[in-house]
Amino acid sequence: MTTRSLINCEAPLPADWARTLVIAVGNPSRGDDAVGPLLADRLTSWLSNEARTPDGSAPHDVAVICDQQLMVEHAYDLRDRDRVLFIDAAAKQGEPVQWQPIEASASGPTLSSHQCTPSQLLHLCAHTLQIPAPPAWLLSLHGEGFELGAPVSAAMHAAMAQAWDEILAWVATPEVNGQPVRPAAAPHHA
Amino acid sequence: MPRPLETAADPASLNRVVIEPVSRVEGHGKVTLLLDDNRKVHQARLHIVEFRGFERFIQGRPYWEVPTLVQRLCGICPVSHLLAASKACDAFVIGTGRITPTAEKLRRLLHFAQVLQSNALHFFHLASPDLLFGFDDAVAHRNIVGVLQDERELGLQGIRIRKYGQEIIRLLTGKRVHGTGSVPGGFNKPLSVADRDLMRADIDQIITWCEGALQLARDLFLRGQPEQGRFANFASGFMSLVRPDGAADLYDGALRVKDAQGQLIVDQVDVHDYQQLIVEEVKPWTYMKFPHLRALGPEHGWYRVGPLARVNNATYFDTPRAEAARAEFMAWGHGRPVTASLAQHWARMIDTLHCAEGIARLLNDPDIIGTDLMATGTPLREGIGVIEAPRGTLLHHYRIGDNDLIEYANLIVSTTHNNTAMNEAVRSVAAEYFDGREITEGLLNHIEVAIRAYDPCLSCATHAVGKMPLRIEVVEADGQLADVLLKHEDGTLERPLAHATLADRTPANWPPLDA
Repeated sequence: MTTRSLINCEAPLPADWARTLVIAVGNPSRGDDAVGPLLADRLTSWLSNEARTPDGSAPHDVAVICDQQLMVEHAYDLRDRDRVLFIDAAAKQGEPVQWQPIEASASGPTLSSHQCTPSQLLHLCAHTLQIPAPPAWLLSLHGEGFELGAPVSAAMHAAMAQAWDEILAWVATPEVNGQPVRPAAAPHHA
Repeated sequence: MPRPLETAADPASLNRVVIEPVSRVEGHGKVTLLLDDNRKVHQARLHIVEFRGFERFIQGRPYWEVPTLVQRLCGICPVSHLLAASKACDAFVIGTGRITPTAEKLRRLLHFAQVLQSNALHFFHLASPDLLFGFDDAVAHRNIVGVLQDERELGLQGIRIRKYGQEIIRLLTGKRVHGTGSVPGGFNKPLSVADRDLMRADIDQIITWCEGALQLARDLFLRGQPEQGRFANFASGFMSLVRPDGAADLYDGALRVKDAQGQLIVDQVDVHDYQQLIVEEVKPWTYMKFPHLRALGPEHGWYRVGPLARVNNATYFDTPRAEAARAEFMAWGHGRPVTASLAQHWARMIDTLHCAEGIARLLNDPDIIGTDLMATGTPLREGIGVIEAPRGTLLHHYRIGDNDLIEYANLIVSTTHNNTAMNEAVRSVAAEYFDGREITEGLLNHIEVAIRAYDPCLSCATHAVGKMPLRIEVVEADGQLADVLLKHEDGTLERPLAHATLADRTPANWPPLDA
């Protein structure tokens, strides 16, 4: 019998541990960096308002995590997930909304700061922590400004509106086939 | 005495070497080395471009929003801002009274958890790769992944210590980041017995790991003598909070400043009198201010804050393992303050062990599961809150109007306190390792190691994908770019001017000296 623990990777997971995970990253007070938290809030609200199934369970087995930065300890959040979606702002990308499947890096990645990337996180899972890396996607939205106290730009609001339907489609898609889930999003995939 | 930083009579005539941004520290930093005609480093400037707008961001907000709002200033230590702001805003609810014993202990538990996880991040993720593998180890290996590959158990301990601290924060505030818990006047959520017991389940293991990490930090520093002792070693004052009997205290106390010889410059200064003690100098080339002791002036009154200052300043630590470690540390320094920048890592792990022991003590205190969480009193219109954040003394000062909106805000964060010290650390390292010709990766590594010892939080922080490359530029006296070295996020290096024409090296591409 394993005692419940805050740090033991082998400790039993809670009974309501969702099979699908959405990790949104960003600072709500730094202009377009707020996109992750805003979409996380909206998705959390949407999930809580979805009608329960007749047996009382939630219709979508989805957990939402929002954090200011992605860090190595988030690897533990990837345990026993069927699929993961990362949502983040991007300073450099051509498309306002871009989906890309994320693979664990085969070679040793570099963690360059007080943060890491989704692919580095998957690498940690697969190659270091012996946590099976779930299929994962990165939804990135192009940001224009990141100043403290700045509002979200009009362009980012438009990108969020576009991304919202795609997120719902991803959440509602039950199968995982290793390919982009929503055909409409395919042209944006890297 | 500390060497004056402004050594050049006419800085505009000097050559410049710029490194931007600094990798593995928060945000976007830039290092400018000013060279003389003999290509010797005369001056160092650590540019921090994001430290502005804090006060403007807060002014006009209702005070009860401030503790939550200020957490957005920093992605690494949001709880430190939450607690400093809560302490300052206590005055708007309870005046000069004290919060309840349970509320104070919950805040202290939260604070220990924050410092524990932040120190673990720093030592295991940022500092240990430098110390374990050497400053010139390949950049693709000199990181936490390299530690996990070569020292797997050590790396896992670092991740788990950090996770433990973050889980305590989550249980106390409801979220891993941007939760509440601490509010003006007390705490808004009791700790359940179940959650207390969950925290208790791991704390003995955490203490054991922290003891091991402390021994490692000490051994690596001692093994690296005399080089690590000389590296960025300079005289300065040290400032921290202490209790009336001189014990180190991370959450509350009065200000103590010692000089490099260990003599008290000031002691037991009420934090409400900080403006009589400290003045913040403004310089034209940076948004960062340069705090110093008013009585000693900018040349002699600058000081360091953080783990090294806390250990150097404390009469004792009130937890047994950390106190034994403090005594050993001070004995190594022959009873005088240890001034080597790399001793920060040893001191930081003493600090970390103190946090782990403090958590264990609080979890065994019956008050911690009490339900008397909010105090009342006669509100004031001005409040000052000071804590010892992971990187050092953190000060929040607010005034509110009759409408309860913030009219005045002043924040002095740890990195600002350490501003002059970090400039001096960079200057001393660059003066020793710059060969007068080009920025080598080795020099860059050494400068970064010096800066990382202070763990600066340079922007508090946007992190959006693609925001953190590293750029190194060398400019000749005539303004031509001599070399550019780019270090990408994946650690790969690129020299974009390798095949550049003379036109590509135009001075028009060079930023103004005081940018």
